Amino acid sequence: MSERDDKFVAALHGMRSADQEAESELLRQVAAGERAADSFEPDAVDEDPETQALLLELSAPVSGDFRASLADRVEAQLHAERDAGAKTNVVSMGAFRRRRAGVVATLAVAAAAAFMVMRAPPTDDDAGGGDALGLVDGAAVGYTLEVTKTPRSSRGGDPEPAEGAGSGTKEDPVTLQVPTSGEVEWILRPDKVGAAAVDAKVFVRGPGGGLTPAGDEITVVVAKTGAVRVSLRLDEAPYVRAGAQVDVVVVVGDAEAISDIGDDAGVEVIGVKAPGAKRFIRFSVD
Amino acid sequence: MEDITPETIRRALAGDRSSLDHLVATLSPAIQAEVARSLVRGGAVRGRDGRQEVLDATQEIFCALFANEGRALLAWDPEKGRKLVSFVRLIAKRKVISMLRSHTKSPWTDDPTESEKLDVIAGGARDDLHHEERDAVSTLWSRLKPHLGDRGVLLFQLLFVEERDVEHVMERTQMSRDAIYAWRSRLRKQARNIGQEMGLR
Repeated sequence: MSERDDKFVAALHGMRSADQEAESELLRQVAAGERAADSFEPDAVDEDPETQALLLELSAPVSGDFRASLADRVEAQLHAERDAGAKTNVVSMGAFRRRRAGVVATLAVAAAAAFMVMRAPPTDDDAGGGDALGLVDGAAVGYTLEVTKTPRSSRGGDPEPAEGAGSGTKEDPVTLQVPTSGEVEWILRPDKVGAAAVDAKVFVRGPGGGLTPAGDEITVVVAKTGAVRVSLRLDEAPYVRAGAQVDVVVVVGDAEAISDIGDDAGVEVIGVKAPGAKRFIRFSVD
Repeated sequence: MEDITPETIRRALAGDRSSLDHLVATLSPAIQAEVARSLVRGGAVRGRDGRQEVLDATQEIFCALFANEGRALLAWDPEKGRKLVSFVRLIAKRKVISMLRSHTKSPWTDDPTESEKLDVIAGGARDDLHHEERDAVSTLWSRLKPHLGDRGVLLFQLLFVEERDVEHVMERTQMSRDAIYAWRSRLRKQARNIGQEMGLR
């Protein structure tokens, strides 16, 4: 290619970059709510009407909830990175499984900010037993749950929410229909900033019925605000099989107490007995 | 709302929630728009279901900016001339292209803060052509050139290579202002159409 052609190529690149930048900026203004989608010059965005409509639709402003969850997620990530050396806030489920605690009494402390998901009917949730375990009032810190990421259902379209699922602002469980692969993510947000949660541990009740500590398929990150991000990689979870219904129990609280939660009976106790516990996460597999 | 400065970023990285919220409010629309544009241009979104894909990728890219204690964001230097939104937009674009090439939705499959790439982006190298991009644009030029004719090539040179103002071009070509505007628009459109035919994003 001649030197002259090189200059034309560079100019062409500059022209394309400027066009892209201009289009991106217009779409950014739409996404930021600074400009209405119908306020463009007709050829400011792609000239093909169908493409133009799609671009504008995909750039429509997101909800405040989305932005809040984005900030929560980043905050949790930063917090986890900062504390990685101390190994306190990034919860490695594999490491948890290797720890055998067995001191049921400490579960009471952990349950101070406990919440859970149950496969059992709601009547099982508050089945009592808290006093016998010396559990403190778990309702002191309330949590709401938001589904922040769902894979596309293999049956087409978005995953199907059920039982009023989606926002997690109700006490009802958030139930999702999910495919067998992809990633699901929830953020559990305390109603008090800087709530007591400094660590979290997750248990899963799979098709077999028993609650077991989650494996490496689940990542849990706790933000300084107490928000907890739970990510589940469906294709790495042995219990995610077609037709299965899976419940996820998340226990948050003091790091030391949480780390002492055992793999065995204690888990069952927390899953069934924690006072003030709420059913949050449930999903059915296509 | 105050402009974002490197200090705003450092505060957000240190855990200041209001600074983080400020960054989210400012940067997420830019990332969302760039993701939408890049996915649509890449032919990865054709139906209405694309909204969720855009939001997923927006989240992932936003988090990628903060990964490794915010290395990517800290690479931004306003002294080098690029605004933060433009800087982030370029990172987002490259991440989406990377995602499309690797056929994955995750921008984490390669290191989002690879120092070499960040240096290029942070350096305001708007006109620096990467090898692949140079090849693609070279092909675009070779396809566009035959469509232009002698007059088109001359106008392309004056308007886009030499970046002459319209008065200068009027004088050189003895063409009217309207005719030059029409040519400029036509040249852009031809380049865009051929680029789309080639699948360029």
